[in-house]
Amino acid sequence: MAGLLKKTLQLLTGSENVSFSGMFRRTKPTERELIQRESEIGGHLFGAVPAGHHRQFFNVDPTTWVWYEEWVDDRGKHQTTTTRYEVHENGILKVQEGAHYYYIEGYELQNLVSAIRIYYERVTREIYRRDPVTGKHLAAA
Amino acid sequence: MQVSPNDVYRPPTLNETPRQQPDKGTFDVSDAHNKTREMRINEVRSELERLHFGKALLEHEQPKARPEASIAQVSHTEKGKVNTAEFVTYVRNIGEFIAYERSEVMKNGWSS
Repeated sequence: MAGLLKKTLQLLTGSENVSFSGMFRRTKPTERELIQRESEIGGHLFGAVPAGHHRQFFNVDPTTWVWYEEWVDDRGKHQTTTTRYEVHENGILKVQEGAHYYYIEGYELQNLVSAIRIYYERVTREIYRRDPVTGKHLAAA
Repeated sequence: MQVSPNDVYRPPTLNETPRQQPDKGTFDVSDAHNKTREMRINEVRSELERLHFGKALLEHEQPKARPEASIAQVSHTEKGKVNTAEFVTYVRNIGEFIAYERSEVMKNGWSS
């Protein structure tokens, strides 16, 4: 089946060197797909994820970051928690369901900024294939 | 210079209308209203641009400078606390760059 597909593609493109991965990489992803890929990297920036937990950390837009975590508790009940970090002029506001909103500071602020820095460096390199400092495209591996 | 209707208009006395105020000349209140509204719109637009919601961000143009790879440049206050304003700027720059990278890939596809 794969051979037939490859021959069909060779016939259509006129090229002997048909790369499936290359073809798929040329497709245009949606923003949701990109955020999903970024969140897979983001989920591992805060250390090991406990067994049975699923964690995502991702950038929604230039002023919003989200930490989402879900797990099954001791009683077998599905639990989720969502924390939103909003970037305001006067600080970064932490917003959680059912909790007070507050501007983070001290180590919490430093840790978040460090995580965001690593997120940026990793997604820029690993997903967008650019050098995070210069912005130049990385050479294909 | 900002001009408000109050600078050129005072309520008429019982015996005069706004157009009869000799020291201010003729004045159309609707013009003042329109000018004030226009100034207000410009103020709001400037504020939005200042808050990075302006044209550059909406169209995801490439920001001028990439965020530094290190956050070592973030300074500390005399009391040893980190400078929150610098963190905020840094985090926002990163957010803008990620938005830019996304928009490029969504527009042009993956570069091989």
